[in-house]
Amino acid sequence: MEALAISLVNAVPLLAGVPLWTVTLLLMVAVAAVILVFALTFEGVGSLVLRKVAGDIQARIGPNRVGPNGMLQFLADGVKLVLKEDIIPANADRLLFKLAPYFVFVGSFAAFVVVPFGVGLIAADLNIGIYYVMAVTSLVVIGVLLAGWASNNKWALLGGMRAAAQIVSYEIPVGMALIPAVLIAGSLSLQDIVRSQGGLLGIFGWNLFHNPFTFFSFFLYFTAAQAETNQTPFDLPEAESELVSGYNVEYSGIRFGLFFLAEFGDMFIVAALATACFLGGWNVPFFHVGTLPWIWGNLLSLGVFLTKAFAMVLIMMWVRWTLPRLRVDQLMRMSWKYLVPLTFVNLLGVSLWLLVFRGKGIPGMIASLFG
Amino acid sequence: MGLKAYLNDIVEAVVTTAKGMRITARYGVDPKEEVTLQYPEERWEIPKGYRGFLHNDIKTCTACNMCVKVCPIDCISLESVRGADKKMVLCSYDINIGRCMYCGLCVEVCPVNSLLHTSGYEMASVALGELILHFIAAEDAPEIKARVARQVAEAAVKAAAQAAAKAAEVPSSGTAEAAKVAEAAKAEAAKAPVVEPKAAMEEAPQAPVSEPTVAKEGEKKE
Amino acid sequence: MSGPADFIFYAAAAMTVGAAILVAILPNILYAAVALLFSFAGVAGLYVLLSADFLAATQILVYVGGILVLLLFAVFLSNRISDGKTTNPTHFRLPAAAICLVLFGVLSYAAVSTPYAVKKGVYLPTTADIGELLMTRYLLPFEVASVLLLAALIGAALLSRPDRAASVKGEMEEGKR
Repeated sequence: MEALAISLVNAVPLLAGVPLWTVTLLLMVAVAAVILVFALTFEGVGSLVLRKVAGDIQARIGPNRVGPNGMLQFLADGVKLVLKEDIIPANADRLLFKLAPYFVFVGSFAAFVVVPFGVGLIAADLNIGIYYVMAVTSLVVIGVLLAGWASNNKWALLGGMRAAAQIVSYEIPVGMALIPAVLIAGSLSLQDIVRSQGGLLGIFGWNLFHNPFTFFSFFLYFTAAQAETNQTPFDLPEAESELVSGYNVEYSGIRFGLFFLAEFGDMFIVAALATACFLGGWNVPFFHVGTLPWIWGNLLSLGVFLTKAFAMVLIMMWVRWTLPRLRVDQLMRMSWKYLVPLTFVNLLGVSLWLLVFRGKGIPGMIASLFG
Repeated sequence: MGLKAYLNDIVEAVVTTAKGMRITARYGVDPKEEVTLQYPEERWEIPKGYRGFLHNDIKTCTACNMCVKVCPIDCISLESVRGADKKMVLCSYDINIGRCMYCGLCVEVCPVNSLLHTSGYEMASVALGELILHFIAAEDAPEIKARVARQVAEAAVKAAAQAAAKAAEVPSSGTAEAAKVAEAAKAEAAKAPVVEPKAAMEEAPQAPVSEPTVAKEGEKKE
Repeated sequence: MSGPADFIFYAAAAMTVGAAILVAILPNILYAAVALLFSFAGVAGLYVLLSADFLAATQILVYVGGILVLLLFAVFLSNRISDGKTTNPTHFRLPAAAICLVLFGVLSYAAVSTPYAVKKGVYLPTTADIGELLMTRYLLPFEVASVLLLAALIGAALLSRPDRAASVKGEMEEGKR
């Protein structure tokens, strides 16, 4: 960011007198605003697509009244959420009730910072990228727990407790399933991980096809991540049929909107991490994006990344509308008795593979056979 | 749990998920699977023998009371008076369609096929009373009753006069039996004009009170 | 360090200390927990300023995502916790003050007299070095800590598990009835 600020100061003579840190700060705010706009747009359109997909899968039509073919439904929803009365229950803990949605939203939105949208499009290429995502999303747990408690409602409390137990449990398999990608790249930075999957192998350069263990790792990650974001087969915290709507049952208006946005934000983060760690990120097959002019390279890589990420989101929705909800004990059993051991075995397998074959994947070995 | 069962569990989870996702994908992709009917714009074809709202053709109705008796939830109420020609004349016929369960028993039992199911199924109202179908307006009932009572009275007077005329003829030529008949006719003629209209007048104010009190409230609201 | 970095340092330090004071004085234990969250976040900010980004993320992940959640769970599952008066009573002020003073003296002495290995300039990335040190020089403490945690985990599972023999017996008796 500072490098960008320096180049900006050099390019625009008007900024010469301004201290560098001011320019950097303003740039940071601008970038944050851009990402926020992207996130909000994604969340709006995502909610519409979610409902449309739900309609298609359930042999219905879905929203089709607002705008052509229901395309503007999300705007109507957004306006409704903003304009709705913000009700705080009389016996709620007012301070915590107001604070909780912000924790959830910040925890979800902060993860956008390290999403590698393109070859040069990343808000901050932290060298602890993946670890940072794991860390900031843990803020969501606190928010959800506090929301459940502050509502002074037994359903909300149950939902909050379930959500926390679930997120804490599934953080382990999510992290363990992502480590193979880190091991292959030798870095926690998401940009480095994406770059490690580039090259001329095309889609066979992806970590998904690196070796059998990474292949399984991807599916393990996807399952666990789906659970960590409280998506439907694992949406026990919200379980409409038993908990009304869980921890956010007492929330209305824009505070509910923040929970809602955070949920979709999490969805995108999961898809983006899956794309970056296993599906080659923004790499264009058989092609070095870096050789193109800056603007075209970024646009192309952005397109590739978003296509992959949105495809992953669609698959998440597809799973979401296919599977029925698990029971609490089944959920916990799945995490502790299936996903955790499997991810550990996988991690061991990947490590051994990298040790034995000196970091080479199957496609790489085949390629080297043919010179 | 053995290792084999453990692995079997995993395989089963993957296989069943894949199966389910194949099914949902088929639904998702195939537009023909959509079953939604966009109701106000699109309507379904009403099948033959569809049991919609009840309709009574009061012109053919004989006020036989069969429908009232057979109705299992007592949503039909009718009121009738005996007319001059000994046939029953309807003075009110109400169906509480909000209570009707469309069992069709009343239609089956109707001897003259005046009560029928129509194809109508749309009805919305803001007050419960509006769900009562009045086939004869409530305010018409006293008028009909009065008219019928008048007709009956006229007929009775006529009959009495005829009987009296007959009785006058009979004693000259007739037997003791004929005389007895004439006595009876006279007595009847004396009674009839007094009693019958009175009964009709007594019943008249009761008629609206019995069932459609709710209806009146609903009408007031409007 | 230039102006903004100093400002961020003081902001983070103020947040850490202020929130810590709030943790100590707030009578409502849930508010104290939330204040603790801000204190942890402030410490993480200080780590970031020290170029210890891995440590900062660990601070958030372990303390906020783990310990604070555990704390909240403990609070939620306790009885009469919403009764604000009984949650954070003040007893034994004098002995506590004495202990605190002694502890403060020891800690500040330790902080002042320790010869820190100071490294000038930015030292990034730290992750690989931390990993290497954990696997070589500090392997024993690392493993001891993990064994300790494992023991605690097993102990917790053992304690919270219902007595299986007793429950089976109870079920059989229920069946007989």
